[in-house]
Amino acid sequence: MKRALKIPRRALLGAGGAALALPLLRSLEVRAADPAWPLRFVVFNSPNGTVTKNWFPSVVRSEEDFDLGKIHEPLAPYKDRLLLVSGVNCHVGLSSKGNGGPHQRGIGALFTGQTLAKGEFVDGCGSQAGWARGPSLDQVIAEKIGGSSRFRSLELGVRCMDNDVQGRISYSGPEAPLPPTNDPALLYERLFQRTPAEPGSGASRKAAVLDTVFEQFGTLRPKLSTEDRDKLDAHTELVRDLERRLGIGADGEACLAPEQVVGLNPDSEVDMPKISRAHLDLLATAIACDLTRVASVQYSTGFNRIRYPWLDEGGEGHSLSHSGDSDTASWDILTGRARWHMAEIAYFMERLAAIPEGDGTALDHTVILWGTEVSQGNTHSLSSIPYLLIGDAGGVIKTGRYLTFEDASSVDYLATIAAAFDSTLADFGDIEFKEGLLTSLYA
Amino acid sequence: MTQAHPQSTFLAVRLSSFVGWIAFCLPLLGCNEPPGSPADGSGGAASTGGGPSVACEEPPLPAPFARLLTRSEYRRTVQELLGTTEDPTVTFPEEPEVNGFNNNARSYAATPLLVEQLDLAASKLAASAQARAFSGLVSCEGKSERECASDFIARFLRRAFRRAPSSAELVSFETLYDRVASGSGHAEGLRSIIEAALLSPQFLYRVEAPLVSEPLAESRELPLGPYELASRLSYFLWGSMPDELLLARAEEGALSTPAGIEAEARRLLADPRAKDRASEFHSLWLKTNRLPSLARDGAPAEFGRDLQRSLLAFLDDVLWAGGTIRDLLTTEVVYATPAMGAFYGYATDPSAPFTRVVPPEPRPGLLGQPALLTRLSLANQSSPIQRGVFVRDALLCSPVANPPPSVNNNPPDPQPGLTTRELFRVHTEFAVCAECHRLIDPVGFGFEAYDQLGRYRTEQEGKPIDVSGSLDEVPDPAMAGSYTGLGELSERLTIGNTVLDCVTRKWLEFAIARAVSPADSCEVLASLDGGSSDTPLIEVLVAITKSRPFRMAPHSSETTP
Repeated sequence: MKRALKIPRRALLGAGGAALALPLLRSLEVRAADPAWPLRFVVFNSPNGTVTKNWFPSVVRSEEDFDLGKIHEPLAPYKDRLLLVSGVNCHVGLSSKGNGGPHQRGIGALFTGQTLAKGEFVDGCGSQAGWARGPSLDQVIAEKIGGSSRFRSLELGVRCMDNDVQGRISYSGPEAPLPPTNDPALLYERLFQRTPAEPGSGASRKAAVLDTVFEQFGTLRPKLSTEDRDKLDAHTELVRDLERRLGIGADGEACLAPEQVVGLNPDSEVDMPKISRAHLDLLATAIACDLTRVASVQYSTGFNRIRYPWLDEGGEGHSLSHSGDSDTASWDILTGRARWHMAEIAYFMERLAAIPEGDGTALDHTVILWGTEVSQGNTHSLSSIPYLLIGDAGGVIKTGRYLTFEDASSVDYLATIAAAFDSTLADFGDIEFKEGLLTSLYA
Repeated sequence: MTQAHPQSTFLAVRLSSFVGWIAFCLPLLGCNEPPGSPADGSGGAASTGGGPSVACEEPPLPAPFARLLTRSEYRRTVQELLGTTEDPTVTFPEEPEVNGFNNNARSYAATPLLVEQLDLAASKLAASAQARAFSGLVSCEGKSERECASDFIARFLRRAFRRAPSSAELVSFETLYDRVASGSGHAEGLRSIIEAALLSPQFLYRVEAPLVSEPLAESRELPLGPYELASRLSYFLWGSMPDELLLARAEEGALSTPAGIEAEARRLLADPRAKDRASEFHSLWLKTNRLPSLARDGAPAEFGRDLQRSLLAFLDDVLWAGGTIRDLLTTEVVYATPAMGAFYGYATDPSAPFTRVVPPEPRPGLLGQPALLTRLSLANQSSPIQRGVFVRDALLCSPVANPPPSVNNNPPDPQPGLTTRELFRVHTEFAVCAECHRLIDPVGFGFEAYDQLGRYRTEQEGKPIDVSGSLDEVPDPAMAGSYTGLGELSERLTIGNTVLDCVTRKWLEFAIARAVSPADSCEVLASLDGGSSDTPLIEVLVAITKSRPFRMAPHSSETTP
């Protein structure tokens, strides 16, 4: 199987915003000579479950011959890149181990395969829980593939405003959630408006500043308790990492910064579609420029009460998702919203497909995983979690299929994806809920 | 004044590790468990408000974790330190929210995004100080550039690190100055000092070690060092760095006695900076930050922001006018913005941000505030559940256990012909729901005279509103029993010191950035003779600063240099 190779850095990005009208140059020959392309991994999450009957394939003739459900129609052009599953159950959330209500347990385990620690987060119904007890899939994969890009990973939120367990999907470690960037203007600044390193004497000045800062960390260290020492060591490491990464430039033939989108309100329902597009444009560019190889995109938060005023007048999503099965009007609205989320992914895939890489495009080298924290809102079921996997991870995963499992653990499902990137990641997730990799996902 | 509790030995062992501590502090009140039983952790509370002989458990104090400045603390600190109005924190990620508070020292840690933004903020702040020619920061008159720089380093680090810098720290920053200034000049050297200081852990973190003059053979509790205590005071009451006077008092040893601490606490509370900090506490305690973005059917545009300001103005008034729990719960006043006046039918002054209105309908205190009633609602109906849970969590510190994960706990949608109370009948009809909901719903039903936007109503779906309810299995049996309407519920909550004890715990958690137990608040209230609903709330803040959990910390032989 093909693995991502390190791409040598040739050119530093020259300047900040003003120069961005020009392509961010990198020698074409260098990239053309690279035998392989880096793999990328992006997770998507949107809340409150899906509409099961419109999610799973409508007609199934065989594993490889099926008709997409209504929700997946926006992805029809990419059908051969999809891998759909049913019967992948969130054993973690269904067990008595760990804490929290169904939305909390669902979102905590969704990409971590871990139960929730004890804690003080209260969900809308009074359940209490803390953070997930382990790193998320995107982060363990970033550890393996994100090392040589400016950002090890990017966490993006589309009106993801709750700073509690339902507002986080990415974790760098146990109880260590990563906050998302909600404002595309800020994301733009982070990606493109910061000179990688100050030129000439500026670089040596910054180096002198950081030397002094590291000395201060060193001075304080002996006075700290063990826990604080760990905490400040981790902080020191992040500063070192930042310093190293600031020296990494952007490059790639399709590395062209988009216009900066400003004036969107990250806390506005109405702006959500614009924020989504701005984020996805920036993320595609970040991938084209190899500024990052791993990202997570979270739309709102678990148990949210958002409306979709640009789509319908159906009111807030959580109550709507609780409608009885016979309430077809409500379920049509929810189906429309679920389709919208798939259309956003299709848009992102289109953007990746426009980035040439060797004989193919960046889309060929990207794996996308979408998931929601419960299967369907009106049951709060943690059975048959509607995960959607897109991309073959360099020929490892066999796509264009719909696989049905009797009762697979979502931890095994996640570990199987992790291991497609690096076999040492097969131990991903809480061991109590693991029975073995789902090798039928592989080619 | 310690009176051994039967469990104290057991607790001491449990509390020796922080994990045990957390476990102890969790709400362990089972739905069927009578309050006050040993398992619910309230055994140590000074629940009857007795006399000076209030006995508290005084469990061993956990070692404080290093405290990373929160966004608001960082903002106020750099503004004070550099004499600027810039706010670089708008791009910082939100702190994790633990038990409602955003400063939990254990949970709040650096993330890649935060470190990236801190670096950017330090660069920008240092560059803009340079652009202002370091005015107000550096004075070089009659000195060589090198002397001027040394002088600046000593003065600036003392303020940035909130203590006298060590000679090693001075040398480190002087070396930095020399390295940069030799190639790029004096101004670049000064800018680099500011940038490095703002990235140093001594600035970004508060490490709260007790003062130890010589190594101790064994671990024991000691008062915090004077600088650490000065910072605890200023960050608790101002959310910012100590001022010059407070640093000077610390250096004189004025903070070595509870009386000295009290004098400084009262001085800080009299400063306008305390107002902003108290509003921050109120926002976190009552979760008002969610109000501006709440979706509510029928709400005028931007209404949530008005409601938030209105609630904070009410709380401000109660706290700073020397108000008590009784005032908090029973004062019938609403601070109405013009938009609120139009919506609720109050006469307001259109040119003033708020008009102090005494509403014609019943609006007992905090629970009657339109903002709170709106927050504790669903988009299309009131929520007796959220309202009942709020009373138990935020006012009684006596939460009910979680629903089991298998339960479908979705609120029913409004049905024509049914009142909200009738909609939730299912909770009492099924034993499995009733087990817990009997402790929640009958508390929330007393709020039914107010809809999802806090409007007063006397009927719903053509039926008269029934505002009868009951308060059961609460920490103080004297407040238990059935009641009619929000006014009577609010009066009931003023019995004894239960609500004061709970609010004290919230303030203390905010002050010391860790989960606290009833034993902690017991110690705070002991200096107020246990306190009551007639204790001015401002006195609770003063009492916190003098209490053992605030001013002491364990000294561990492990960390002795």
